[in-house]
Amino acid sequence: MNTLVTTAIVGTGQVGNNKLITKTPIDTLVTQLPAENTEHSLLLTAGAWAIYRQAGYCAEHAPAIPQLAPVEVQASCSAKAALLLANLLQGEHSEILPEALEHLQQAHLRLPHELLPQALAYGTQNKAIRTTLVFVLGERGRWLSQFNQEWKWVHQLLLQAEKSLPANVETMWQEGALEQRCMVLRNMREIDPARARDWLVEVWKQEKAETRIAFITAFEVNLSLEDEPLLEKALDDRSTNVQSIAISLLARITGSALAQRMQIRADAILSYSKGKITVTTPQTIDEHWKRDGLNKDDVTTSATLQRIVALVPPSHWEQRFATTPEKLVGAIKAKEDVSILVESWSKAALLHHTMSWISPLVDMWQHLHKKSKSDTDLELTIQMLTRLPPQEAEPIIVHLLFEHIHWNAALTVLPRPWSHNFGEACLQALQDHVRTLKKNEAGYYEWKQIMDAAAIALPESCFERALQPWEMPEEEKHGWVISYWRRNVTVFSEVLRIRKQIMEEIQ
Amino acid sequence: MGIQITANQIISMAPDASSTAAGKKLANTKYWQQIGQNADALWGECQGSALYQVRIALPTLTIQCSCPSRKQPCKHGLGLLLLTANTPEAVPVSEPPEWITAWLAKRAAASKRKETQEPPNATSSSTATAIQRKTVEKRLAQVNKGIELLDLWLNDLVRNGLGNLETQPATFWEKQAAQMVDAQATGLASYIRRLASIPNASPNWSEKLLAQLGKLALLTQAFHRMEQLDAAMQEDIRQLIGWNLKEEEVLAHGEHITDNWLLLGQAVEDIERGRAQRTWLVGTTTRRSALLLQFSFAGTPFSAHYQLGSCQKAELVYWPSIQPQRALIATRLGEIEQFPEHLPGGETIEAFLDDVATILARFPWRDRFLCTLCQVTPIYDATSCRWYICDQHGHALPLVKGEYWQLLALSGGAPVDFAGEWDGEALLPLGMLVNKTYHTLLYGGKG
Repeated sequence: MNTLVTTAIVGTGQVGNNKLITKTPIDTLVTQLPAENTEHSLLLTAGAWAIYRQAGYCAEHAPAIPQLAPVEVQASCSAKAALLLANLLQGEHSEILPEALEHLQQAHLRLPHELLPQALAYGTQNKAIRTTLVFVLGERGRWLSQFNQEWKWVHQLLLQAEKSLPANVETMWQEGALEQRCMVLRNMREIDPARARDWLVEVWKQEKAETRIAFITAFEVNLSLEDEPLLEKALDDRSTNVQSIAISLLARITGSALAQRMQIRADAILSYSKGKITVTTPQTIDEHWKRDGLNKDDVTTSATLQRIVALVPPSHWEQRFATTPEKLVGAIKAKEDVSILVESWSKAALLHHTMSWISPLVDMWQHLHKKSKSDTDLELTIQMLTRLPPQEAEPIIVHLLFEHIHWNAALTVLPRPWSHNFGEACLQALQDHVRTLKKNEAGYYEWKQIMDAAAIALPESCFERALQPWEMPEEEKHGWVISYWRRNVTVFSEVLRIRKQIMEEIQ
Repeated sequence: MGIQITANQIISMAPDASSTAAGKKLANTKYWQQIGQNADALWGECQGSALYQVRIALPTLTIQCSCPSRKQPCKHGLGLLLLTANTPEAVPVSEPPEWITAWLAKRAAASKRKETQEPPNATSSSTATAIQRKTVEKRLAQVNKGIELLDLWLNDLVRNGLGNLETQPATFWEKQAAQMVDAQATGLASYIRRLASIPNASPNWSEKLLAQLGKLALLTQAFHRMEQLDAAMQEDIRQLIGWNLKEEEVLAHGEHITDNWLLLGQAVEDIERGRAQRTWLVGTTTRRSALLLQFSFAGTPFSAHYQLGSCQKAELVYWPSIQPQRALIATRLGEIEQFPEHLPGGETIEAFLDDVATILARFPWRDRFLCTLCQVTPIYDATSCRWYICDQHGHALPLVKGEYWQLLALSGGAPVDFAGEWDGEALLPLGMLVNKTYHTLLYGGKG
């Protein structure tokens, strides 16, 4: 540090009359200062020295200039579309964003460069949008993402989409963060399942339970009988979560020992004769009972029974009893068996992707729901509806909705936009509800959710009708209920108008 | 025909986010009636709780609305501007209604009055002159006394050592600033308030503080020897100490320059009890830079709105100075012009730094400089987490700490024309010209 600075820090009162030397041409000026006022002279020298250095500021050597971004292949969207998208990215009705980005992708357009930092930041915060966003970033967006650690997901998703592996795949597998390792493992399962298996066998012992869970889940990709030894080993894992994932994977492998064991156990439970299913609770346990995830202490309970049946492919029963799913579902006669079997078969149909069982089971659920309702059943039914093609699922959902408003959750699982008929039916239901509003009416939360779902899922063909003025009772009569719905309808119309603008602008 | 302003420029005029949102909502023809525009104005009636008349004078974008909102500009004004920018066809060119012609006539009369006003002193009687002279002398005496006290204080700081200042509370600086306010040396007061932020702010803060104290000592020294200085330099010293010039004085004594001015960008800074806004301009022919300075106190909005990223032919008047920089727009001449394809600026950082040195040699207290550079590349250095502007000769200037992904997204690693504000240590990016489009960088949560 310069003596001038040290003198100033310590104080001239302490150091005394130090020589004011800056080793610059300023020193010749300093000689002209009067000697008697040390402090003032020091300040003037410091001032002149500061300006001298400021004037003599030298530029730094430039860091390496990055490679030029590749030339864009796709055109940018229009300026108007960019403005609409900017608003969505800022959080104004961001629920429309997925649809807007899909439109962009379908139109083979990309986001304009000025929106990229905002879009990448949005994707970093909102994982769900990433898979759509990554395809509208253009060359520039992909180029830009390499500079910010937080935007590494772009590169990873692109690799995943191409089902390709990065050049440093081994290093990534050995040294990467958990998310990266899962990604390369999953991609490796796609390309070379055996190598992925070898990778996992090598590290299996040293990884933590949560890591083992994440890794073993990736084995659902290209699952085969060759995976059995590793999965059998996982059955003895200390973590029950690892064990239960291994069980469901093994159950899905035709011919695996576990699948056979489960089948033998299940065959002892279910029998069918003269159009009637009989359920016999298990009486004995076998040597693999515990490692197959079954509890030794409650052998005879319905929970154990359910667990076993839920792991066996429903198609097995079609062959064994030589009959159709519809007949089998209808053959459950004993009251206490109905919910147990319908639930187990539903889980089994979901696990083994047995499409032919979905419709009869959903029908049965509808029937059961008329009598009672529980949240698990609701969730299970909705999960099954998502497996149905939309044209089959939509009429069922309309039917369910008219039966009970709490089926609104089913709306969120339908692919968007809805079909015209389904959109019209929902719109009609909403408009009927709003027209006949009553004071202190229950279900306003569910109706609001239906309206929110409709706002983002109605097809374009329903817009004209939806944007007509809505009929409503007079405000004075019902107070806040009316003003609440008036506000909701305004927001609903606003969302539809923005969607319309986006559709017109992005073509 | 019509106003040339983008939605982003309008959003930057909004006093807060809720006004922006409300304005966007009102940018829809269904809320408007009697809507129209001509070369001088833009107007419309907006149906709110009542029917509000919105008047917007072009090209200054002065907004007047009959609504009772305290916010300026109000949501109705913003709404009408956004509507015009987004859907120009919705705002037809038409004959203005009576309430617009009357308003424009009133504005024209007011500005005429201002122009024809006699300069101060010209008609005043000898008694008034005597009173004025006495006031001037009284103030000078007060400032003299204040500066004497300041010199003593500065000497004390150095005698006791700057190391002691580390633990001083904010009141230590404020007390001294207040003394300068009492002595009517408000310029010195703000200088001292700025010093308060230096201790402990950086590893070499004592060196930085010493430099600023040194410059302050040079300023008081210059004041003591005023009569030996050039007349223009005397003006500078008086302004730095706190003699503010009125607009009419600037118009009467400042240098008038007519050019096509590019409005390059804006920086807003918090100051004592308010905000200061610096808008940077550069002339396409004269290549002169100019700084439009505005202040806002107690949350009030800035009085003038500038269309950043536009090119306006205008007569500018500089504050009298040995190295003029601060200016005001005296007259706007004609409509907004097309922004040029290149910024008027050098291609090397070295040449820019040479210009800075020349300016400092003439006026050592200058602390901010407009930097326009052509063919430079914005770079992010991941190892140091710092941003740079690099020229073709491998030289670089660091950017003020922050994140500037926008620069990288727009340039894509290719050279661009760049405008920034240099404070002697780092550049604050103001805007960038890429593919014939000028992009302004906005600060304060809007960028």
